[in-house]
Amino acid sequence: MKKETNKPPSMAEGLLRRLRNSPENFSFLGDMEEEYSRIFKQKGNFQAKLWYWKQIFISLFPLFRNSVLWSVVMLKNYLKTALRNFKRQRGYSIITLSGLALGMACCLLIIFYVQYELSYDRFHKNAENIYRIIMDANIGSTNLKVPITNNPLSPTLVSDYPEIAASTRIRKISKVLVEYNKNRFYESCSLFADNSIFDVFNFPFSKGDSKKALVRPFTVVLTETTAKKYFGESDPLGKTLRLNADQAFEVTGVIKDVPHNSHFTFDLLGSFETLFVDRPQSRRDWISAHNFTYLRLHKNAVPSDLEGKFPAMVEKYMGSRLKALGGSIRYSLQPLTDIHLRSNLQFEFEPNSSIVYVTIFSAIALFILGLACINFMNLATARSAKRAREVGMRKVLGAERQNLVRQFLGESTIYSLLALFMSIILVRMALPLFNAVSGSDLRFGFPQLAWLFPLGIGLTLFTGMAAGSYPAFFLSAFSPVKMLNGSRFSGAGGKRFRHVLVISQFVISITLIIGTWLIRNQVIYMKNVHLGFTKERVLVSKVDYPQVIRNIDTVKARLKQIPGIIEVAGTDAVPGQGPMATTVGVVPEGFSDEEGILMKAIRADEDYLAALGMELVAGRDFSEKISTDKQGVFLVNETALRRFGWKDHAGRTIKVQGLGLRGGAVPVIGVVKDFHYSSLREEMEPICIGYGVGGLDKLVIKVQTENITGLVAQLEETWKEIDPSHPFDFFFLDSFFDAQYRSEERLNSIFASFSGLAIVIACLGLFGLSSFMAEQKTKEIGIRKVLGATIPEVVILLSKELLVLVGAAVLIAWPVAYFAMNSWLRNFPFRAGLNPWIFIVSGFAALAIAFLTVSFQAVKAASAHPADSLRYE
Amino acid sequence: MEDLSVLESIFLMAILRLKDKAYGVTIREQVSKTKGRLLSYGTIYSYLDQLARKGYVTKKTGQPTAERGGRRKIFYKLTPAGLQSLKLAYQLQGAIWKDAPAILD
Repeated sequence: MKKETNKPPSMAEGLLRRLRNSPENFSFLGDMEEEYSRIFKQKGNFQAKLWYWKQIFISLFPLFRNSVLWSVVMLKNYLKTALRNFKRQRGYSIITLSGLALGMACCLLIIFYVQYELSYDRFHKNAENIYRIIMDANIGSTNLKVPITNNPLSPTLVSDYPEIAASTRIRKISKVLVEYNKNRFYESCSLFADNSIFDVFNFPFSKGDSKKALVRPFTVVLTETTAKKYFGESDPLGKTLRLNADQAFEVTGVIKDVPHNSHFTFDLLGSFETLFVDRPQSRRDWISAHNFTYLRLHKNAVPSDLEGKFPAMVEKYMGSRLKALGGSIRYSLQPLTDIHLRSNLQFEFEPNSSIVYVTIFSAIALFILGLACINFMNLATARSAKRAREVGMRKVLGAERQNLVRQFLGESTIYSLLALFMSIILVRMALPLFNAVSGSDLRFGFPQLAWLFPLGIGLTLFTGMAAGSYPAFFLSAFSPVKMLNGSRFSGAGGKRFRHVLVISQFVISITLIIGTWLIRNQVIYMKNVHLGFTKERVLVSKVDYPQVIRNIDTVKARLKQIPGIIEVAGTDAVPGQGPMATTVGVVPEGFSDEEGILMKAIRADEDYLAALGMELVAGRDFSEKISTDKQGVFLVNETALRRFGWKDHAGRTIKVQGLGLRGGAVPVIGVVKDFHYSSLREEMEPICIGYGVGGLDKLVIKVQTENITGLVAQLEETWKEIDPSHPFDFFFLDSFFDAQYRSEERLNSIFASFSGLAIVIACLGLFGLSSFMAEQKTKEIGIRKVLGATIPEVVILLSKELLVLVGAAVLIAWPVAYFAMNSWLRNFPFRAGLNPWIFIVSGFAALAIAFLTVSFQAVKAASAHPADSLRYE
Repeated sequence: MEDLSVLESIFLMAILRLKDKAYGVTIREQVSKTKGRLLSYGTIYSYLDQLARKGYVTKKTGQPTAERGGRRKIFYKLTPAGLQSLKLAYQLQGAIWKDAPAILD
């Protein structure tokens, strides 16, 4: 201890040594230590240390005054040089800058998008502890993995397992008609849930009590927007809404609107108890599954431990029933935060996004930023010839390599800072468009701006360093003699490097173009392929109202009288229902009960096939004239027939569990040609169509008219007479079916915009390069023209080199695009082929665009008067 | 030859006075005494650097001593040019201030 105390503070010494590197340092430190030890002897340790620190501190400025002054002077000089260069070569500078700004804007947008996608469901306070129950069911030979569970599961879990803090059931219901005074609207986004939903999730109340809002049956909680829609400014609490014209619900709460980045949203939330009013026995129904079940675990609970306890629970409550059915059920937990990006099960709330897309987009954004940086490097190295004298001069005047590197990196960082400002403006302008294309809800509000600060600095530094690195090291490496020697230094050194850059730019652009085209092709294919039914000019109306259902034959007859309506059929399902489709267990004749098959099922009447233009391949259609049909008969499709292993249907029966049937044998009377009941992402699946089993709740209306609006008006008129209490509500089957391809269309638009950007940036670069090359060859062109070269010859001379590069890029891009797109298309059992023309045309389009870009400069250079170009210096 | 600044002449005079004992610590003492204000080592050394660059002083490294943590001293000595400048400065100062007492009072 004592030994150390009479030594001056080593940290202060180290600081000085680091900052000042001069031969006198030892003497300086020696002097300091000499006086230090004197003061130490006189006044003690503390005083001496204090003195030492003070001395170091007050010495700093006089010591570094010079170097600080000089760096300010040099900085001023660097800025001035940068500005002069910018002005002198305004064209190049603007090209570089706008390319960089585009790239950065793109990158920023994608970062915002990725951040938005990753933020899904994380606004709940306990998001990490919330899980959704997934059911894995094996019944017969079919396996079903769905997020759907039964009624008693949730209360049982809470009472049996203390590690569960709260659990809630949520049921999605189809469209309801909501009425208050004269305000009537169809609400398509309604849920029923236990009051514990407010305990599992965070939905802040603006009015009402979250403890008891949904405890009683026939209570409803509205979002602020919905409340405003019905009640305006008046207080909705305690008021009564009529649902589907016959049920009265009391409004017991108003919550803030559900954020967009939630995997489920709703406008209206009814109490789950309501569902048990008519069917109290369903409370203990362990078999039917209709609900989503969400759990919130206690902070220290281990989800895998809980999962381990589920088999015992299944055995305890469902064991005997499952044995009778010959099936098994396994429950597992899915983290809430995984749902949006990593879950794509049947019966999701709404189609989720995918982590794959997020990854692809991020990769593309980086690519585009890379392209812009490449442009910068390219143009800067090309222009280095112009800077060579400056660099040479600086070197002669004593600049070290390090100074030059710093100067160029600094310059490119300034450029990228400018580009950043431009890109922020661009992002601001492009945001609405991007939202429309990607179907997301990004905002340019405070949180994004707060993000922007570190992000912008990071992006600027990264881009500045990446873009400036090559010119900086390249230029600073030459010997001053060579550089000052003048015109012979042509920037040729970076040639091969530039070539690689141009090729990689175009490989990326062409691959994106081919990708866009192939995705578009697949979407068009999926929309236009013959589906096995006709989706055009078909209206579907949901008529789930007792007075209509009871008299459905009269209603149909009434509608058929309207001129332009060809066919009206009753059903409960139309193709394109996706997750809403009904699934039943079917045991075909000749199978044991354990070998049942899960099939999609449709209830329909005798006009269904005709209205949808489906074809019968064997047997007969349903008929109201044959009395046995009324007791229940079925049509199956070809796939089902194959699945059953039947040669034909004649005289065969199936046993159906579901559709209100309890497993009795019903006859199969015909076979329908296969049709696409789901999207073309799915394989053909076995389907059965039941007749005489009730439950029709939709009308399928096939029309044949030029004047659809007139016909719809007429339909609405007629409907008022049929059912005055419900407005006529319908959708067109084709748009309903095609809505399944929204994610592909979204992907397509995003690819299209990216490939557009990529090609624009690549062409900006090419434009800059070609004008540079034209400038370099001004004299050569002049001489050639004097010697008799024609303009086309000169143009070819100038563009040949770059076009060869683009050609090489085409050859590389083809296989890249082929393998990438082939693996994407493999997701589709029904796909448009990889048309070779797409590859050829994309390649040639890229070449043509490149040629146009290059020849613009080439023609300009070639048509210049030789006298002018030879005078050029 | 450039005229010396006041501070430069203070430094040169200090070094001259200290004869062969002119190094950091002693110079700082001398200069501060003349100036009436304690200067930092930073200032001292940046002026000594400047004087050496201008060729008024030469540097000579001495022997390391224990009290300096084993570091050598640098002894400063006036060059003939330094001495010459100092003399010129003295003459100039004398000329400037010759009749000052009569006028200033």
